[in-house]
Amino acid sequence: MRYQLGITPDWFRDIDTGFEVISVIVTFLIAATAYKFYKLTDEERYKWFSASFFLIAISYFFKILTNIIVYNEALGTQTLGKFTYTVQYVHEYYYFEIIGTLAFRFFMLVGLFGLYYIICRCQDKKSVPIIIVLIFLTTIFSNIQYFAFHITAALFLGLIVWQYYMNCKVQNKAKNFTLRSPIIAFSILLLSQLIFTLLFLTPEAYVIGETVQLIGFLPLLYNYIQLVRGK
Amino acid sequence: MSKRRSRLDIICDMLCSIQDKGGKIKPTHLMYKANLSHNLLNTYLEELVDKNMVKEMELNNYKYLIITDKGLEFIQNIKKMKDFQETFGI
Repeated sequence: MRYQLGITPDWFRDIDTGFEVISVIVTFLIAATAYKFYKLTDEERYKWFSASFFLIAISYFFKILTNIIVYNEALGTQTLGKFTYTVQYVHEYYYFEIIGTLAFRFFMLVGLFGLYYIICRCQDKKSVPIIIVLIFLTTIFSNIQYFAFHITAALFLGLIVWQYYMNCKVQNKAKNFTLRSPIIAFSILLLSQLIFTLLFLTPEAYVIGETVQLIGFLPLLYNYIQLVRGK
Repeated sequence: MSKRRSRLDIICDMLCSIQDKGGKIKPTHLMYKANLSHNLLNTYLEELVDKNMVKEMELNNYKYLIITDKGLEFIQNIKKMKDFQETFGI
């Protein structure tokens, strides 16, 4: 069996892995900080907030692992017009790539749902298992239609941005950059997911999406640094 | 009507009251400054002493409460936690 994984612009190979490493670091630092506050106060919301960011960090970790293994299996290049792309043909890594990608998508969606659940202060715990099952089904379906994952992620990110916007409006904190930065960060992440859905048009959408996604994590990193510095 | 203080708020108020008085305070003053009843003061004080955030000391026949480094660190962490809570809206 010869499986074609996909096409990634040659020059972008490994750069995207570097981007994911930064994403793992940022999300892990936020998860660790929230966990520290959970240990300090025993408040459940910190535990679940930490768990959500930790799941997002794990999801990127799966993506890095998949990238490293699959990229190292590259067998050649293919030229389409002006562009030369690396084409990967994978034999024994086929199942690993599938499992890695599905794990990335599942953990990412559960993490985003968890964040939304905490931020909107939902009380309805009965719906959680149903949504987890739906996320699982979406993940499986995204193996056939990749955009199902990006649309679902964009939906959760949209809800998170909306909730932050409403919180900001109610508390009248729109002028403070630190308090506004989660809105900016999650809006940019939302944009990146929408860009990823355009992959069927051009593989360059992957490069743009990854870059925008990296930019989306910067306001969160800024927040973390401000917090550590006590400003 | 003011919101009822949580356990954490009360502990934070107690430690901040001691810190505001230069790190040393008499129990009665703490009771007024932290707005606590005698019973509540003793309950929370016992916890703070057990956790090594406050230590009791006698000076000139008066009992004083002194905030420890651990207590000061706790205040710093609580401030950071409040910033975190406000920033991330949790």
